[in-house]
Amino acid sequence: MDRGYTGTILKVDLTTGDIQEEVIPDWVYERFLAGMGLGAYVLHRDIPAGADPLGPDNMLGFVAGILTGTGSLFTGRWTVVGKSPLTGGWGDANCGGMLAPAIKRCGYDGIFIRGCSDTPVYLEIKNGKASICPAGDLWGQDAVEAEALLTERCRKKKMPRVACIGPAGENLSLISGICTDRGRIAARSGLGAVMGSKKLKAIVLSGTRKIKPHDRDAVHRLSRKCNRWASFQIPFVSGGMLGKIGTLMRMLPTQMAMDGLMFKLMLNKWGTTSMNQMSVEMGDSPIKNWKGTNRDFDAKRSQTVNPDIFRQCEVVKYHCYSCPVGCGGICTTNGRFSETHKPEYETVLALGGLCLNEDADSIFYLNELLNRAGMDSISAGGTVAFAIECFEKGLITTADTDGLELTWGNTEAIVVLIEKMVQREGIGDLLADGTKVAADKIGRDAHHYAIHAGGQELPMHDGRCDPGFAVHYAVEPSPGKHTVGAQLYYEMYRLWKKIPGLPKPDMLYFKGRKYVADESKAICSAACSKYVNVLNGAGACVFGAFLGADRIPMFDWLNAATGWKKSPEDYMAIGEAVQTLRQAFNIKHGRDPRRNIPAPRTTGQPALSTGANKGRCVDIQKMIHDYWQQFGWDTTSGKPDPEVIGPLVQAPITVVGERN
Amino acid sequence: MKTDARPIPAFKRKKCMACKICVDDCPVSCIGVAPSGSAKDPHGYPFLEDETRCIHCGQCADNCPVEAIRMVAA
Repeated sequence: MDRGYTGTILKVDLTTGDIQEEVIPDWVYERFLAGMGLGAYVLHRDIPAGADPLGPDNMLGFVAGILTGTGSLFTGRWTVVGKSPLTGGWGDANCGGMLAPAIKRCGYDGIFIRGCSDTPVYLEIKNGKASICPAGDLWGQDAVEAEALLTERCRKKKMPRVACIGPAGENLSLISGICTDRGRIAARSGLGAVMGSKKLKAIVLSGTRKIKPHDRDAVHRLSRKCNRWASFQIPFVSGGMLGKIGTLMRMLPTQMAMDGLMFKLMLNKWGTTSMNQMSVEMGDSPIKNWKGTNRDFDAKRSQTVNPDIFRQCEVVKYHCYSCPVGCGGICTTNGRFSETHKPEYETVLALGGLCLNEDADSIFYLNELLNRAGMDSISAGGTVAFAIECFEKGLITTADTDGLELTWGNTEAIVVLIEKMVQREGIGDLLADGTKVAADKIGRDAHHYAIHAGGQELPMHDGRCDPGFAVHYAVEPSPGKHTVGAQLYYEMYRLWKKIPGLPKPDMLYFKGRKYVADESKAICSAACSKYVNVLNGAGACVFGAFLGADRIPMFDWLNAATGWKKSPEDYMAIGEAVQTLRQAFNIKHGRDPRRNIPAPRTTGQPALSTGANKGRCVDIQKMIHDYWQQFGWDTTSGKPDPEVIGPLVQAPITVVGERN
Repeated sequence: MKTDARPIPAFKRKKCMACKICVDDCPVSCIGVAPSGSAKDPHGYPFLEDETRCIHCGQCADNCPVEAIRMVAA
């Protein structure tokens, strides 16, 4: 019976050269879905406790979602999973592009790689046959060059799809990621370094197998209905007006519940850069390594990151597989690189406001440099801001920085510093592993200025503006990520429309209410985590989910694609199981969840005395406690009950005569 | 003069979402994406990049969720 998934994974051991397939039983999909859920099941089962993240026992999994390739929309994301060398625990990162369906067209829901090769290699899967090929000539090439070479080398009839690392991954930088489609990058968790440690330059996929949903017509009907919501346009608003809207939102004592349809309209026109000035103005974007305010990067200064500037450079909009919105873009640039993917909001503000850099040209350049190097732009920007503050405080001097004057807004120094980080050259070697490792090496008070959650640099959403972000940075098994939950996200997911009992936010509320740590907040945060685990299992994009659960038929798509008859509550229970399994992975590997709380300044301790987030403070300890309680985990240690974990990963008992 | 009557995909711009499902579906990768868009409509839409490679299988039309592709005689 066709169920949307292939039911098979590929397992490759680069030490021995052994390649084998494993059939995954249906109960695994019914319990965890595919995508990240399948990854959690395999990694929890197969990575031994205490494995070195950069050693042969660690596994790297490329997984696709159940809905990918079934005719559903917004479901083209692939996820890479592994034990993170950056945090020492569960690691995942996801990315769009065209790789996700390519994994399934090779006949697999996931490709899992363990062991380490002695020499550089790439994995090619073609016509149902996997082979390990030498990649000595590709080692040292940047991700865009390597992808172009491999595409040309491996192309027969079907265009191959490639995921590869750049020099950052080869150099085992702990803030490196894995690239596809000329610079899209699964950047977080440092999994590029895991790939580099295995001497695996790339995977090249050219399968032609059909992906078979249970009921394709039903999936298509749902997609057409969803597309009505996805195809609205926003003709009148200019990029500059968005900044003024942000100013207005900052000044008002009240806030309206956000409808994700508005965000979709902004994504459609500008992409994620639509948030640039608005976020700075309303206090959502951290400034000056989280110690500054919107006044340090005021409307005049942030004019250089006006969304219209990025839109004007756009030659064509870029769509990931199965996405009708197209928030990406291909831009032309001046200087060394002729074109680049349109910088994302996170990149612009990490390299902009966080370092007080006002130069848009440098952001375009660094965006392409980091994409080609395969380095996470969030972590790179966060690490530069950390270095500047260390320089300001005298913890490092020009003697350490190879003569660079690391001052706020010094564009030239910022560019050179990141070039050095990519090459691991001089001071760049110290910083190439992110803020936590650098702070440990610098010593003294440096850890005060290292803004990370469990080792991973924080993204460009300030928990003092939306405490939901602060909670998810600290509680997620892969900490420090902005793509899971927030109070804003809960409003946009509109889960209460599908799941009875979930609280419905008021249309208009006083901002002060966001900081009250009550049970309702914990229920919302837990719901976000569970729902995003479902999205990741389906291969879906959170931006699509922002349309609202009543407009994007995620649960109905899953039923149509698999033939299951599960309710939304059943799917949320799956999301909960995946969250518990990922947390159990961390406990198995000795990670203490309490160590994921970021530096006090990120939650307003001490509170800022000026700016958009003036006086705001988040009761993070209480919010974490309440969140753990929602999952039934120990509220003092964050550990799931071992008696829950066992049955979770064991095959169901089948009664004789009953078909499983 | 004899023409090739085997059908090839024709794209309806008004219905197309530029989602690239057809690009991935094509077993011989003969559908490409426009490298640039217009100021009014900046999306890169799919088109039959290499007609000689088309194997007339109709997978692109079958799998388009919004029925933006029809197979028509060349």
